Amino acid sequence: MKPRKIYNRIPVFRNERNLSRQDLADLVGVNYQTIGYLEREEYNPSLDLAFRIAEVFGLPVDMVFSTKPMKPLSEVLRDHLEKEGD
Amino acid sequence: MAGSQSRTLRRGYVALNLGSLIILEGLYYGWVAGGVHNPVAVGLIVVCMITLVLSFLHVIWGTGLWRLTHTGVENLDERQVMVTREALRHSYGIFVPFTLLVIFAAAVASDFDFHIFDVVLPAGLLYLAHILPAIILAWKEKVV
Repeated sequence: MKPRKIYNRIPVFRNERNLSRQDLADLVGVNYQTIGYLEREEYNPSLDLAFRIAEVFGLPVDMVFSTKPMKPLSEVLRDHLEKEGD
Repeated sequence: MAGSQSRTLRRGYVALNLGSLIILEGLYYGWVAGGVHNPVAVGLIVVCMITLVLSFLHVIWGTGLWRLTHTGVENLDERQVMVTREALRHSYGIFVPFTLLVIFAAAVASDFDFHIFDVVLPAGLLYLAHILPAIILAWKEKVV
């Protein structure tokens, strides 16, 4: 079975929280280069690692990872506000 | 993995390392094992050995690839385990047919009274077996 590409918002959430790749790597217990591979979407994390990363950011896992290309958060917020306005 | 060499540079060092190993074996069996002990042969062998050691230190030891391919699974994260396992699988695939070919060549050579199974050939094969996974990673991986 060919694995699907997993998209993520790790760089956005990591930069928001002023974490270096090394900081995030230490928090989830992987090598800092693995964070680089994840951010470039060249490596699909295990379910356990995906949950650990989402827990560091304090977000549900589907806010951080997706099987479809992820919209910028500003676009997500605009769509949400438009829905609320309707 | 500690180093940050570009893949092109790493591939250059890999070529240098394997090239010096092949030339070293060739010089040894072409000259020294054949009874030729001139200073040029010995000098070239020494140059090859120095190149071999320096390129090993640069591309395998210095980048942390040796540690990556020789440490226990408990010291690696899930991506490292995966890439190391793939590199080991490829290494088996390359090393076994290559060694069989060398043994076959040695058997054929011994029929012509050219005996090449002394210490240098097995030492070269053992060295190759140890560095192949690291060399595959150095060649393939974007970042090491």
